[in-house]
Amino acid sequence: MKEKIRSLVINSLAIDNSIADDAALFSSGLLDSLSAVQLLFTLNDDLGMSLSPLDVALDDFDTINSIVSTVERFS
Amino acid sequence: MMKKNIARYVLGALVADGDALCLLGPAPLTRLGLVTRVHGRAVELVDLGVEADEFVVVLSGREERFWVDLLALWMLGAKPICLEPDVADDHGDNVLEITDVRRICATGVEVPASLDGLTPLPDSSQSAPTAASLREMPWVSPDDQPDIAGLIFTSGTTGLPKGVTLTHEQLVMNALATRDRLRLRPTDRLMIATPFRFISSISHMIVTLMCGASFHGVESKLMIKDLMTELASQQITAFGGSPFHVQFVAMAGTERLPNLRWVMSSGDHLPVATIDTLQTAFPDIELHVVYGMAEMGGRICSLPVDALSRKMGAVGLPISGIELDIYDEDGLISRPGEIGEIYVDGPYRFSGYLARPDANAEVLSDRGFRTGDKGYRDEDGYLFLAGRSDAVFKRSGLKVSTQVITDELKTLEMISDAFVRSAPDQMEGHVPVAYVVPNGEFDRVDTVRALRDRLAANHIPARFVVLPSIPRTGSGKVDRRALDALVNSLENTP
Repeated sequence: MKEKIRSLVINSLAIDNSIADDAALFSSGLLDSLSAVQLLFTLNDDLGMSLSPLDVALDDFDTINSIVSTVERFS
Repeated sequence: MMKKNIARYVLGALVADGDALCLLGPAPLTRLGLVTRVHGRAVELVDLGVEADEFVVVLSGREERFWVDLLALWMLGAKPICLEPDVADDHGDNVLEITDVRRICATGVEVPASLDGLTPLPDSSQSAPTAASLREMPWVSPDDQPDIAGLIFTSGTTGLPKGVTLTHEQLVMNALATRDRLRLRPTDRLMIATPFRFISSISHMIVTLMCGASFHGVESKLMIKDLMTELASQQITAFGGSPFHVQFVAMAGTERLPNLRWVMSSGDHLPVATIDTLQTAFPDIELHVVYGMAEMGGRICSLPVDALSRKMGAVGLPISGIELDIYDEDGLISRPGEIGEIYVDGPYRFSGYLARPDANAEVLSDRGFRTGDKGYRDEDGYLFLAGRSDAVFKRSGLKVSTQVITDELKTLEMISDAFVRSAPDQMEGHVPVAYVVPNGEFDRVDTVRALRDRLAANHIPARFVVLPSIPRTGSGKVDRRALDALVNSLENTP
């Protein structure tokens, strides 16, 4: 699951393959809230989730690790 | 006649009920607190040698310090140049080139490299030792007060951002006219989630404080849930944002946002579906749709609340003092319902971009200011926007230039030819779609990575359409009909 999510995040956001799992994606300014919403919709489509932008805070989505945890929590 | 000074109008509205909050956030300030902080800062700036008519860079990203510096500099008759802490090198260099700025207010953030030659004006954040009356503060004399209140920069979609020279009179009068439309109450707590250096934040700070209400500016990039948490925790009653934000406020509803009574949408067309969702979720909500530009000192039009249902999709009527005309291709004023270019004029109109005679010649004429927006007015004079005159459109409220994206795509080795245009998008309003002819196999991820190094996030194409060629006319322009036909034929090919 982690590798799949990592792959989805990297491809959807077109970020570098070598990005660390604990690298800040949004708080670093690399990506904005719009990208976050787009990523969320991509995860919903590909993983059959129903995450809402209203349910996901920065801490839930700022790193690949936190995204994996969030997806697992909502699964 | 006394010259208008923005700081007088703002601070003058805060003299009563000193314990009431007026600036919310991590370091909230009461009215008395803000007045004494501004007084203290002004005294400090005088001691540091700041003079009337002097340009001073003021960096945003510093919460209430930004507003204190702005008001203090206006009190002294200095001219704040509002910039972001991560200002691009060429923009910073340009600011130094076109002004004689020597000093910078940056306490709390790192000074960008291009501006590190400026002398810092450290902020000790001390209030004045006594609650002095407004008359005892170091106000600039009317003779020494410059007309120009400072520089606010455009977003810089194409080329360097342009410095809009605003006057005190312009900002004050636009704020007064806007105040009359927005119907904020002294009990309101207004939140704006845009960078402080933009006219949207500055003018609404002025309007909010002049109404006796509380202002909460948020600059940090918030996830949607965090935005809602902030709205709820600060007990925000009034929120101003782009249609992108408004749609999520609508989704949140009264359960998450029990205090919200007022919403203002600006920056782009607000979809009817979003209006319906918002009014269903908040049956008593007061929704204001506004349209404005820095070049006019803030707002240009607003839609009266009681006209919303019968003028759905409009951005309203010009605020008091604004003259608005629509010109067609022949230069004649369009009839009601006819789409043309929007020109605005009146006493709030700026006099020009600083040191940009070329840009001024393009936008200023006896017709007034050429906004670059297209629209039409109906029989009742209500303005409806209809896109841009040039290849610039709004994506989630921010300007995007299709030409900039096209030019960058063409510099990539992996792309042989490219054309970009906007397409409607339910979430973002409009998004850039790139039609590309790749050299070899097209790799979306590699292409986006390459563009991300060169373009702002909102300029990254939402979609790519790969074509064998881009149809062009004999003069080299893209043949849009042939392009549509080609795309359709490829989509319908099994």
